[in-house]
Amino acid sequence: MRRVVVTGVGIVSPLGAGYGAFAEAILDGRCAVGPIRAFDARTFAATVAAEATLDEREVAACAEATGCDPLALRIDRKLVFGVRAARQAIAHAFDGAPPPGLALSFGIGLEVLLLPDVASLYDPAKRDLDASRLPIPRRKNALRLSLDHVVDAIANAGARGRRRAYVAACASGTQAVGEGASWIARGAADAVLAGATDSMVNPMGVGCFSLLGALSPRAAADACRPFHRDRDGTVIGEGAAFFVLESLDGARARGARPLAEILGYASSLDAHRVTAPHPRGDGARRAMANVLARAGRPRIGYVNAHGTGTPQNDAVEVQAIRATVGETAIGATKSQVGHAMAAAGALELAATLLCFTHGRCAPTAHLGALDPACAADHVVAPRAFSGDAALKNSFGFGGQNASIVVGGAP
Amino acid sequence: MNPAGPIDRDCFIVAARADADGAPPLGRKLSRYLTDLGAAAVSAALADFSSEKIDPARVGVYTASGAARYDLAALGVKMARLDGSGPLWSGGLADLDPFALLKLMSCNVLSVLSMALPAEGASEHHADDAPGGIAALAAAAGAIRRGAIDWAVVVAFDDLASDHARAELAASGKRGDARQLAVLHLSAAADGARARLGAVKLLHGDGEGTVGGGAALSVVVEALASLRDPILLAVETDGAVATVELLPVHGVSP
Repeated sequence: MRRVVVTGVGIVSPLGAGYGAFAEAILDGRCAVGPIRAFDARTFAATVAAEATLDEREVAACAEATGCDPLALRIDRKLVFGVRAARQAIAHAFDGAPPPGLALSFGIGLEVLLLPDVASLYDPAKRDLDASRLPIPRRKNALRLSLDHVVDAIANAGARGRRRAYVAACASGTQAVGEGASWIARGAADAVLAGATDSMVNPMGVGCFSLLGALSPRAAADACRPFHRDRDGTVIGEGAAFFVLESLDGARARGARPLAEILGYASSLDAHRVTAPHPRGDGARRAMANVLARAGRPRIGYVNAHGTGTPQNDAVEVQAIRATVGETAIGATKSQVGHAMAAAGALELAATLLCFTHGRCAPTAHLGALDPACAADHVVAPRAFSGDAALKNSFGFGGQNASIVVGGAP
Repeated sequence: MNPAGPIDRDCFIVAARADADGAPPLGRKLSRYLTDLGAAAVSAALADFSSEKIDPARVGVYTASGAARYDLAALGVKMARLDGSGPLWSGGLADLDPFALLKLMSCNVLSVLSMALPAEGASEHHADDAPGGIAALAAAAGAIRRGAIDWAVVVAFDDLASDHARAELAASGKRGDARQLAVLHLSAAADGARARLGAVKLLHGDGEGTVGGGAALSVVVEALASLRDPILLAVETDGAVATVELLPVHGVSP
């Protein structure tokens, strides 16, 4: 098995674009949660989100490159975010053009229905759908921004080798990075662009997650407060993070400087319920136990938790961490950047890398009154990292669990 | 890192289906999280599996689907009340089924199937659209060969007959086929096997087409029905070419 290292990072986040800006904001303890700007959400049950900045020049460039209608790219913003983050990661890793066989391991979420299209398509008199009602420019991406277009756009950023697109709800990003690392370890690829992009800051996303009761109803910057005694839901975020992964030998041969090493990856299923984690976190424990075994049982100095701020997730996760990892520092980045859904694991893995690139543990913001059921060594302010490795957890709807262990650059 | 051990062993196809005919329908408790086709896919996958056969931790689920197919007729009724200037929430969204969005998460078939089997091992849902079924098959076979799991259920599905798909296809001047569903059960053991799975490869290119997410795996299921000699299937899908090698199992009638 080959050793796998990270040689490039690209990020578009609610706290800024680029790994440097993201790192500075995370370690400053900044929070990106605020009133929703993407659409008029004043009457919605949830009115705050953590939004990334959508650059109109990038919208225009992506529209021209992909043939997608700009309106679709503005409503469903994941393509624009993903292309930008993918390009950043490639530029970070390679001085010139990326290798032609650069593979793509990609995590993604739900295709968002473009509501203006649906409203225009429906004929109330006939109580039926009339496709001819779609405006001509919208026909290429009628009703939704196709995942095909998103994956193709990311691949065209420079990853034209082997390609896989994974959907594992909120665990998609972690799974994509883990699977990409596994390809390199097994020799199925030499270099992989791995990561995820997502945005649910749109009426369908915010509306439907509100209906599920997953979102905090509080219109406050601290609406997402993992492990807090009075936590009442998560906050939707958005963004993208991509990593260039290479074999250690390959990176050294071309003189690249690794940022960190991927020491292990494991996934599991709760096989319990779609909308709630296993009450003892059995699936989460299996994922963590397996990844620790595969990583050679390093001393874990920090866990970046899934930490959604929902009543159900956090206590179960803390108990599972303590049972499998033991006493260790825990942080939850969603408190600062919200829940980026399919991209959450990738964004938060970038926060986990701060242990090795900056020697600091990313914190949990807004943790004023700790829930006794979540008692642990919580990182309430950035602190020095101490340990051999760090662990990143992601748990998705439907009991889909993924865990990655990362270590310092060899 | 060690992805799951260096074991290299054979992988066998022990069951295959292209529909849910004869399979017991899924109960309301689980089907409420799924589209109609998703529920049929789970029923078809359950029909050929005995939970007594194997440790759930050694069972994986590998699924693939086409695009999200929204229930436009239901949404249309609600959205028709919106004139574009009114409040979205009180004007329609607040009345939606709480599971309206959750039903459309294509990985829900994986999740529900994991509960119903049960399966707790390494699993993946692929969103590669038309090539997804072969991508899922390749991943499942790889997991068995590496020893990560001992049994895999591979499911690919898509609904090109849905209102949503028909509207999209009509808007682009294309037509699609009906619902697509394919299920394969893979095992590390040859007991009762219908075929041995050889190499599975998937290459992306620049193809064009409207093949749905279940079509490619359906070709494999069809080929199994007439397997007498080794077959190398070449399956062209949207933007990809897949090859799947099927080998007869000695002493087992196809």
